[in-house]
Amino acid sequence: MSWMIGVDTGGTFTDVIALNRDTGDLRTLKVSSTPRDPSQAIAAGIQGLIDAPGDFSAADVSFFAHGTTVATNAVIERKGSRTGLLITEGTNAVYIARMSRQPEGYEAMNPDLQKPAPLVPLSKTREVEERLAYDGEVLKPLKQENVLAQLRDLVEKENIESLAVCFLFSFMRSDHEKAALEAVRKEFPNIRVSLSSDLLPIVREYRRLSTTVLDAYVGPTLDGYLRRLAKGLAEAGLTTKQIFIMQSNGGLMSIDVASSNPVQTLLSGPAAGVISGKYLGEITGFKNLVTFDVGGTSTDVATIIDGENEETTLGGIAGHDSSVPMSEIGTIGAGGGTIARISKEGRLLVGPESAGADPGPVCYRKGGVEPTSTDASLVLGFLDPASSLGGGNVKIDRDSAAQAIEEQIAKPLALSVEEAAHGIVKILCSHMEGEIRLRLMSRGHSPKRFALVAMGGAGPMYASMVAKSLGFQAVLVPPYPGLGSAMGLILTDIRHTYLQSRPGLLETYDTGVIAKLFGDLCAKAAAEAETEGTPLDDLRFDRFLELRYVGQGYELPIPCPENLSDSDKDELCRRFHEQHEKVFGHAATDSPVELVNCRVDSIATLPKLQLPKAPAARRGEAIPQKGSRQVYFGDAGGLAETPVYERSALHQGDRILGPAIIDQADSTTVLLPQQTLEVDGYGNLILRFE
Amino acid sequence: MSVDAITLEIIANRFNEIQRIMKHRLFRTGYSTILRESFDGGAGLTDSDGNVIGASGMSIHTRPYACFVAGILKAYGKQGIDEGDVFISNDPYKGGVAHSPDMAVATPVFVGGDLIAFCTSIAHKADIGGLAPGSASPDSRSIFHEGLLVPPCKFYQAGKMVDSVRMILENNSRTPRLLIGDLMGQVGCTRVGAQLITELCEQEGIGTILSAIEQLMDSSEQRLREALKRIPDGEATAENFLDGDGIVERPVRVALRAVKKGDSITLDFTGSDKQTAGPASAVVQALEAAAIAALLSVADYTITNNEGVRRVIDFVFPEGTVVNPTHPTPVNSYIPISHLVYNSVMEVMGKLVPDRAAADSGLGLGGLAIGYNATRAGGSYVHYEIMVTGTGGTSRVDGCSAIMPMLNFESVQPIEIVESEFPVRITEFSMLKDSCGAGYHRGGVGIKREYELLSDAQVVSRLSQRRHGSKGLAGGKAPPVSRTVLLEDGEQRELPGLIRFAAKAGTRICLEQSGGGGWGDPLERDPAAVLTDVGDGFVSVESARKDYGVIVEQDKAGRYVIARLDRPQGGVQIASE
Repeated sequence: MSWMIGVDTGGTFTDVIALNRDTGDLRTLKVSSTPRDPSQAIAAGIQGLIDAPGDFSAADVSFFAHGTTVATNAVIERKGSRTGLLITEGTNAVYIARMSRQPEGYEAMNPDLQKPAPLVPLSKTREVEERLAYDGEVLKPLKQENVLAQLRDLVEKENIESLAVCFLFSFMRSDHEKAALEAVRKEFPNIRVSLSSDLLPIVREYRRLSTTVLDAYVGPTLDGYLRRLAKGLAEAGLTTKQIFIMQSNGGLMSIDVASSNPVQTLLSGPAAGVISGKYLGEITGFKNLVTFDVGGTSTDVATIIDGENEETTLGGIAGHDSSVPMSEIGTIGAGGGTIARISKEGRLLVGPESAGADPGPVCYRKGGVEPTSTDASLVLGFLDPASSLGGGNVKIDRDSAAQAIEEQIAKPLALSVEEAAHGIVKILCSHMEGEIRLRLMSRGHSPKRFALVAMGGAGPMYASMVAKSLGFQAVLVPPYPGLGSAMGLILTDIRHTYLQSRPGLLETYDTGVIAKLFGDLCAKAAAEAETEGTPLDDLRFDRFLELRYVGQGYELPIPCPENLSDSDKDELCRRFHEQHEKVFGHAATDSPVELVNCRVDSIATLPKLQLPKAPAARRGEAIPQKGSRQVYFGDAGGLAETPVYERSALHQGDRILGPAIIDQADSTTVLLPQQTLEVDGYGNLILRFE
Repeated sequence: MSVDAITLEIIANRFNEIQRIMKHRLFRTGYSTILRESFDGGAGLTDSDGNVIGASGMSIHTRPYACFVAGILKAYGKQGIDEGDVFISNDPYKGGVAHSPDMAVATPVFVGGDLIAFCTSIAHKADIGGLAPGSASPDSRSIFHEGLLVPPCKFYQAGKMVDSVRMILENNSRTPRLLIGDLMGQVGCTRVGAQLITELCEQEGIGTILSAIEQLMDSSEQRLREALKRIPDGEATAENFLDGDGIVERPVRVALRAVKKGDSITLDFTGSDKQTAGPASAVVQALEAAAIAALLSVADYTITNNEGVRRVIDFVFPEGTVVNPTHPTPVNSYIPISHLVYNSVMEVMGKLVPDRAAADSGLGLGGLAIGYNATRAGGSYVHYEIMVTGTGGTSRVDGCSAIMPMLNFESVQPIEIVESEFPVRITEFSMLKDSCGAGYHRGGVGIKREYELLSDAQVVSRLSQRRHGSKGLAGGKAPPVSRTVLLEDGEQRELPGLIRFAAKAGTRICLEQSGGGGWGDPLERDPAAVLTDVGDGFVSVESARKDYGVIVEQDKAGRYVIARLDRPQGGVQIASE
């Protein structure tokens, strides 16, 4: 029982990583994804591990973790369940009006601007006669017969499979929502229910409602998928109970808990990539990192500051807001398949349109006619014209790529084909850089203190250009850049966050009430841990008070001692002012501080991947060169005959001065002229500008 | 010197990104809720002459940035500006801003000793003195009633804060800490912008950057001219009315005559009423910005809104009128007339190219400020709400519901926050049935929001258009007019938009906010879409029959179904979308 497996489902490929904890044997595998039922590709991946030579056996798997896009895709493609919504009477504008936000860029002038269509329309929304006051006082009691009447109407007319319930101030008092749940249980036991007071008992009705609706909308779909997955894994011979799903917060949860917390899986895959970045930072000593995961149509970026990934409660997917705490991941509409074209005014525009995987870049010769960033990279010599892309399945054709760039870009701009290709890549990189600079600079971070972690097949190709222009100190290319998310799956712990709003001034807050709130949250955490099979002794509770200045619209979590007494309050306030100063650049020490939420993070430590050591350092002999090719570096060095190395032939301690190209199965690393590369003990490539 | 296409694109991206960094930095480091939660502010870049390179945040701040820098140059001349200076102003007549609560900040950018640009920011302040908390009062009869007026002046001189200016500011605000805190956020964000511009110049070379600025302005000009060429030549007029100036109940006329010829356009507001005694007028730069926002959204909203755009338009705003008042006419309530100008430009464009323009957006914007004797936290914060309506339908889509048109801004505050902080209950927040204009594409749907005061309070309503509503386009219908209804001591009465009054605990204030106008003949709307609207409660069964010719009934299970169509015979296509 010694194998750990991580499986990440992507749009085109399902990545599998397997580690034998006893021997350190690390295997990787790519299989084609099966979007209709992603669990088929997972079964195929496990079969692939079994079929490969060696000692892998399904019965020896002790740990399985999975990053899924099932919930995400259900929202993006609007293929979730028939969902109903119960709300407090007289509040049906909450979901449609949303809350304070300003449009970005020229969307402010778009005459056709639309908000994302609600996942539950008003025709599937029913208003219940009930009302609580801000302090939880019952202004209008809920009547069971009224709830039942609304429910029956909803079921008869709309045939719903899933139900979201969000009443005003339910975070202060959940019995009205619980009564609605009882009514459903009694009369319609097959309908799945998401209660806002259960899922996210925090203040601000719109975000709580939207989160609850998302949860209800994807619930039955994810549940069905996880059942099929569990069955498939059992059939493949897996016997372990340690089966986990990645959450948006970068922690794992058991497959059963995932079924009841579907909204936690919206960023399941990307969050795992961030965890990989965090781990790479730990083993290389870089404390401040930006993860840079370049896919076909988009690039995901996340920041890690002082070794911790940044969290947000303002996340969401496809315009639908979710407020469960999640890793803060930004998506840029620029990737390997991004299309370049000339506008009417003669400007060279790169993106946001993408050729995706189908038809794909021109060089795939699958019907793509407009040049993409991949075509440009091929023309520049970044990519090996003799290689195959798309997981080794697609032969590429340099001539057709060069022809498309020549005709559509180079000629109209009176440039050489190499200059045009370089321009495309430079503009692509400038889009990527812009988002990274925005994330760092708007928070007051200097890019000079950061390293860029290149992930995704195309990440290592563009990382150096991006890092150079940003002024980053280094680029980090892990041994398997294309498996960033899969790797992160076996690098983390079980982690759940439990929140409860109960606003009040901190100074006069009854610490007995705080103790009670924490007690309830810890009990909830312990109950969930039991479901997950985690022994209570292995569980750690981190307590936080989320505080704000009176009148402010956001809170900051401040660590809180287990038994808080009045005499600790000054210290809490001091830490809050300090944290506020750190995050926002100022503190208002004369303003009263308000407690908004109590928060408990429960953490259960799991075994983790350790990267095997790279081949031992050479003794004097030269690094074997695989060959060389002509590569165009533009203003950074023109056209140069550039040595090419095979990644697997590199040893720890190897140093290479750019320009150079490092080829490996699923990725190509471009080392710019004057840039140096060094291989560390784990086989990571550390690229620096001297 | 001409910058090549690749470098130009990269510099364009960098300018865009620098504005966004400045804006995000501002929202993150500002003190007040107005900035941090209501996002009432933004940042921009101009060249050394005040020509706008671009702006991020509120689109109606673009022209104010240009006028602010012009004001600085008029007061100091380039020779009077030094590295390390930071300028401020909140004077609508001298400093470019739309009204006195807006404070403008500019940091000049020097490269190699030469002034090459300004990084600017405008943000709404909680209070700068004057008759009423928040400085914008319906009782204002002069700009001097609207608070302390800071002309363009140095807040920092050669890198050091001018303490006397800070002391004067602090001494004149009801909320000195918020005022200075937000102002420092603005100073900080413009300085970050200046540093980034300097770095960009070092990377690309100063000559390249200056040429790129020219080229980017030329590019916007060219794009707008190309877009105008595709619009048929012609003339169109629009006449719209504000309810009044808050003193006399006499409608205030805004007249517009547009002449579009070839690749240019004239927007002539001659015929608009004389400036008013009460606050109904707005300074030119605010109205130019609103007009440009409407014109770009019809012509091509993806054009970068810089000085090049302004070159294409000939504006005529006769002096002494509500659209170009003379000092010291009060101008604090500028949103209502800006919105009317926005709708007027949309209306004339709609007459020239109905397929491209949107129907009128829902009128009735503005703010509601409630001052309680004590908030729940014991302080005396003012409860301030910014109202939404809906946008108009277009040839392509239905209008957007529950949104602030002109800025496409979602400004609603959570009920749970409002009730936790203030002695008030929001007894209803609903989509308002039949509040949108009917059409082939209907307008966005408006809302109803009702407040029950739980303690005595002073209410300041700066809402607009409770008498005059919006229009439809291309055969689309008008939405109903927005209303304010007061329920006090068992009596119900309608209120005008601009009013200040004392209210007792138990009073209810109900706002019915209109939706947008409809686009195209409602009798041609897809009946299935009408049925969906009935099911969602946006359109009543009566309106479906009367306006859309769709007879909707309920089946045995109570589901809405189309019984039959009652539409004119022949020629009517049922669109399927």
